[in-house]
Amino acid sequence: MISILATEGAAASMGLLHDGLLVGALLFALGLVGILTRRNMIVMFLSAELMLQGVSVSLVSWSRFHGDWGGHMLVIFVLTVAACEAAVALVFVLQAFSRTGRLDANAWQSLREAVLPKTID
Amino acid sequence: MTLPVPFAGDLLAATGLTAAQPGVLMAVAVMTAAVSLWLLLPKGLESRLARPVGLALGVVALASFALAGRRLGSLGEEAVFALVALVAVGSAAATIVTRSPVYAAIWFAMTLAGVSGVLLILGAQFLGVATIVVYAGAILVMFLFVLMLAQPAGLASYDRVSSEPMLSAIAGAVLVGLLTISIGRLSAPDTPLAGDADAGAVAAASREDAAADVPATVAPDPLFEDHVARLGGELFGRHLIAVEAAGVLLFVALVGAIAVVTRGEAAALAEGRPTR
Repeated sequence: MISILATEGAAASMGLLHDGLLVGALLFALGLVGILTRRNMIVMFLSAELMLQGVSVSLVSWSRFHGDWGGHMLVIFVLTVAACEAAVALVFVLQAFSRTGRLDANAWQSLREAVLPKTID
Repeated sequence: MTLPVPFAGDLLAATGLTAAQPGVLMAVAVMTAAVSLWLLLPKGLESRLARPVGLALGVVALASFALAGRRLGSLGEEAVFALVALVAVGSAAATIVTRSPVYAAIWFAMTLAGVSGVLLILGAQFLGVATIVVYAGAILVMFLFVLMLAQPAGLASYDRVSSEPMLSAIAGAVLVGLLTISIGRLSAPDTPLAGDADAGAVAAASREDAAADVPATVAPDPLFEDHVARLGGELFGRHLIAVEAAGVLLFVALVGAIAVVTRGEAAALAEGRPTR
C-alpha cells in the first residue's frame, strides 16, 4: 500500500514533467517556425519571445521535478535578458524602418552573401 | 531477487506493445500540426479551402497532443492543465500565422496568459505573475508602441507572403518529433532495454526498495512553502553576483538603446532624411 501511494505520486510528478516539457517543446518549435518563415521583423521578434517562453516552461518543469530553485533562477534571468533584448532590438527595428520605410527583413538582402540568389516577391 | 527471464521477456513485450500507442499518436499529432501550419501560414496566393482545412487539422493536432499527455492525478487537475496548455499553444500558433502584426502581438498576450497558467500549475507562483507583469505589461506594450510608430496603413506585402513556409513547417515538425521522442524515453524508464533483462529486473527491484523508503503521504512540494521569501533568499544569496551582472546588463541596454536612437537621428539629419 505504501509503495502504491508513493509510486502514484511519482507517476503524477513524472506526468507533470512530461506534459510541461511537451508544452515547452511545442512553444519552442512554433517560435522557430515563426522566426524562419515570417518576414515582418516585429513578428520575428515575437517568435523569438515565444521560443524564450518555451524554454522557461521547460526549465520550470525540471525545477518542479527536482524540487530545487535552479530553473526558477534561470527563468528570472531569461526575463531580464528578454527585456534588454527587446529594448535594443526594437531600436534597431525602428532604425531599419526609418531607412527603408518597411518592416521587411527582405529589404536588407544586400547584406547577404553575393552568391545567394535574391528573393523576389 | 531476480525475476525469471521469460517473465521479464513477457513484460517487455507487453510494455513494448503499449508503448507503441502514444508514439503513434504523437507522430500523427506532429504530422497534422505541420500540415496545418503550412496551410495556415501566409503564402500570398491561397485557395479558399486552405484556411478551414488548416484550422480543422490544427484542432485535430491539438487534440492528439492533449491525448498524448500523461495522467496527472485527478481529473480536475488534468482538465485545468489541458485548458491552459491549449490556450498557450493554440494562441502561439495563431501568433505566427496571423497576417496583421498587431493581432500577432495580441495573440502573443494570450500565449503569455496560458504560459503563466502553466507556470502556476508547475508551482512557480512568482514567475507566473512576473511573466504577466514583465512581458504583457512592459515588453508587449513596447512592441505595440513600435508597431504604432512603424506600421504602414493596411496589410503590407511582406505580411501576406512568408518565405519558405513548407520548409520551415517541416523543420518545426522534425524538431518537435525529436524532442517528443526524447521526452517519451525520459519519462518511461520502466521499460527495460532489450537484451539486459537481468539489469532491468535489478533496476525494478532497487526502484521498489526506493519506493518503500518514501513516506506514505506524498510530501508537499518543497518549493511551495514560503515560496517568494525562499525564492528571494536563493536569488540574493547564492546568485547575488548574477543579480549584479543582470543589473549591469539592464543599464548597458538602456544606455545602448538611447545612444543608437540619438546617433541614428543625427545621421538622418546629416543625410537630409526626415526624422520623427
